[in-house]
Amino acid sequence: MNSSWVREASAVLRKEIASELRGKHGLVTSLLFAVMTVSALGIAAAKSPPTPTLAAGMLWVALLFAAVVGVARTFLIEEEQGTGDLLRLWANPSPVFWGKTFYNLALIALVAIVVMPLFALFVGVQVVDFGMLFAGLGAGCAALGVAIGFCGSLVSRSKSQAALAGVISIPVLLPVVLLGVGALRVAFGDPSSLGWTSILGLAGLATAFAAAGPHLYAAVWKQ
Amino acid sequence: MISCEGVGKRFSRQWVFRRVSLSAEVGQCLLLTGPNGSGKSTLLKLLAGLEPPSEGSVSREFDTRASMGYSATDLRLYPNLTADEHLRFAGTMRGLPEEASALERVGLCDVSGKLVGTFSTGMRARLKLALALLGEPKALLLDEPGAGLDEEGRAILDAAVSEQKARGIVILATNDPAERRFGDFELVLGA
Repeated sequence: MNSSWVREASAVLRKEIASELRGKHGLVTSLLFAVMTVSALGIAAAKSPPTPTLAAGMLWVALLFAAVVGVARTFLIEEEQGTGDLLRLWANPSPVFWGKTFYNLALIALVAIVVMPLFALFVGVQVVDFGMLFAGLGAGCAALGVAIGFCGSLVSRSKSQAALAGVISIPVLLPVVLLGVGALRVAFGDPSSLGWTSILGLAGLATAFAAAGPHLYAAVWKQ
Repeated sequence: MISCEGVGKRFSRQWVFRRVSLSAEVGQCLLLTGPNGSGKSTLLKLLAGLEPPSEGSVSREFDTRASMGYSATDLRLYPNLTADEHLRFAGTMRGLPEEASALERVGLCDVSGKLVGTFSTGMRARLKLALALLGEPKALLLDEPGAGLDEEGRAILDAAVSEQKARGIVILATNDPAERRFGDFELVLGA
């Protein structure tokens, strides 16, 4: 990682932020989706507050769907709007992957910051371990952001993006969700789950996807 | 020098062209001509490194990112970025120093802060030309560069091509008689 790599990744990140602030596609879609999901879950749980396990699963459903509709677009939109050639003319794949991944992580963190208080308010869940909650959400969002970016980058040049994304995302996202639920179960008061082990697992997955992502993206870059 | 040897390109099972060889050196302007669908734009993309050839090989004696300018009618710009932001982004990604006069050269100074999504076809063509000319490239590859340009735009294009010919390679894919006068050699595809 040298100074030109940092400059290029920062330029991609700035481009994504400027485009998002003007177009507001990813952020607004993600937040709307998350708020709607949490509201629906709140109504469903109005008369009987969920168990810690169910609450952890519900929160991850809201986070996952919000992330999938917004975050995956970051890579796909280049081909959708026809700017992929421009990017391939000027850039190397590695800083592009990382610039977009950093943007994804910021977006998903923002969604989590909005969703968590709303979820606690609407669903009425009790947090018993705030340390585990923040660690679980932090590691989970990192793993989710990198994993969705990983899937998006892989299918970005495919002619059947939607079908391929569906096939790839199941084995990639399922372990993230399972471990994320494991961590949040402990945060919501279920002592039978292995909280810190789940967080270590999430960190491991984030690292693995972050390590493999740029190489696989480079392989599909000029296909 | 930029050259290709026995290149061909096919999409699915359909060959667009096969066994094309060419070479262009500094100070030369090569014209790629031919009827619609003959593969002029595709060959230009192969030379620019945007598409891999299905057969044969392409070689360039320079780094495509820093030393090659490319503009095409089907090259899309970012609608939510301004002209200035495009230049800064391109400069950073290609490792080129900032050029304050890049927009002045194509007559877009007054709209440097406007979003490209609001630009007309001609203004986009001018911006693409400015982006292609960034950093005084060693090779300039232009696909139908006059499309959408008004008289002033065409004069700017003429000047840019003449200047580029003096210092590097120009490859033009065109059927426009006005642009053919720049050519030193002509490769007719689909003949």
